[in-house]
Amino acid sequence: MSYDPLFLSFKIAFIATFVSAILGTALAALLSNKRVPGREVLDVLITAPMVLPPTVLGYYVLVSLGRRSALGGFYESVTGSPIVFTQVGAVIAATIGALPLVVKSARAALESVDPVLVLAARTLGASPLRAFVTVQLPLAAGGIVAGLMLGFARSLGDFGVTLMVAGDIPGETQTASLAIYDAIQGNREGEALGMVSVLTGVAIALLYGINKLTRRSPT
Amino acid sequence: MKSLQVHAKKRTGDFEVDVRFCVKPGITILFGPSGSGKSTTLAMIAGISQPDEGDIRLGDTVWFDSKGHTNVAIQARKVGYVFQSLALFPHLTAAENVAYGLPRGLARSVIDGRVRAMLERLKVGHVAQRKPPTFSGGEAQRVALARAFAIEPAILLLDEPFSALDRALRRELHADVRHMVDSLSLPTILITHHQNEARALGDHVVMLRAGKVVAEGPASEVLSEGPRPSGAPPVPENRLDFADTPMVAPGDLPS
Repeated sequence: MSYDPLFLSFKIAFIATFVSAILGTALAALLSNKRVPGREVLDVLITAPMVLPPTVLGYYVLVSLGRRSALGGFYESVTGSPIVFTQVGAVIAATIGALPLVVKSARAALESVDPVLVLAARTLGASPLRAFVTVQLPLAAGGIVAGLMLGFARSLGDFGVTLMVAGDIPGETQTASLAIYDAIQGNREGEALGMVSVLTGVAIALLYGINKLTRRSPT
Repeated sequence: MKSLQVHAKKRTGDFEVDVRFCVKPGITILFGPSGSGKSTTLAMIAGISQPDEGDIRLGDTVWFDSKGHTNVAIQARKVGYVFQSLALFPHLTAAENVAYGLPRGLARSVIDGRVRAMLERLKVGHVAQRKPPTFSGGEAQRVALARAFAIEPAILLLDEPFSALDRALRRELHADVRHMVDSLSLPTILITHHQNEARALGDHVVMLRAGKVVAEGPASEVLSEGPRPSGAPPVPENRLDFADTPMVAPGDLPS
């Protein structure tokens, strides 16, 4: 069996998790701030990928980032390569899956920090940003990391959106989930079983880690 | 020495706080039953909550003025605030908690020296490297006080910080706070609803009820049954109310 799809899956999942960590934590901070107008609407928009069919999500991505879209056209004119049917497209597909999980966990974790601690930091001279970075964020770290692990597991296994947006190009965008489907279709069950075992093992290990992290008190 | 002038009005739902009083160096007790607006008043002074109307100034410095549209940010007011829950940062050691409010840019050795001195002054040098979840009740109070004093505050706000302590520990802390406040000539506001604490620590008392100041004057006069201080509104009704407030904290009762 070829290990390429597995390597590609891990590479894409790592990048997608990294992007989700930054974007997801920033969005969670925004959503947990009561003074941000329309935050519940934003929350629904960010969470929607959890419940929408992958084909619907894929459709939206194709429409907004395809070669004929403004964004897709601009990207192609700058880099010389399109977003869709490339690894960049696969990363975007994986990020769409991971982001809601990261934002949900991070928001819950940030909101569970006693607001008096943040106020105490402010009275001690901290700006809102410093209070966030030195008090709220470290105290929410356990929940945020758990969300990232969940997001990583989710992006590692993405199938539908990746297929729609990045295609199933062996060696380029064929991730493990897609390769498993291909192997089953081609009666290469041994190859499928190898990848299934690795993905299952990783998922179980991640869930075990998440349980450990979230059971421990955040302090 | 600077004194704090407070005139603040704030409406939240059906409840309105409308207070006007002055805090001179020494300990001013903000005294009243639960829901009388004590914590809201303290929050407005610290800048945590913004009054609808009024002005708050420390000496010549305006912290809040609804007419002049001034509202100095919390972090710029230099308020030493000891919260009821103490609000020690649980992920930082005692030393790191105390160092948190020191000006950034100081040399490491200067910070360490100041932190150690402050912790030792409050008799908790031995917990410097430990984190708050391991502190006893008294140690936690002392670290919280050390953290508030360390920033060299312009004013000290104490929101019932002693309520969870037993009587012996409370007396000991009263003496230490008294000593620190006197040596720094620091305008201090202490919220309490315990008459004993108000009597033991108060130089001056501002009595609140339903969001209004109903009596103000030297502690010995406002809290005694003697003649009321000149200029204070009649309060016999309120005194009866306060007579119902507990004279002993739950921690004082033999278990």
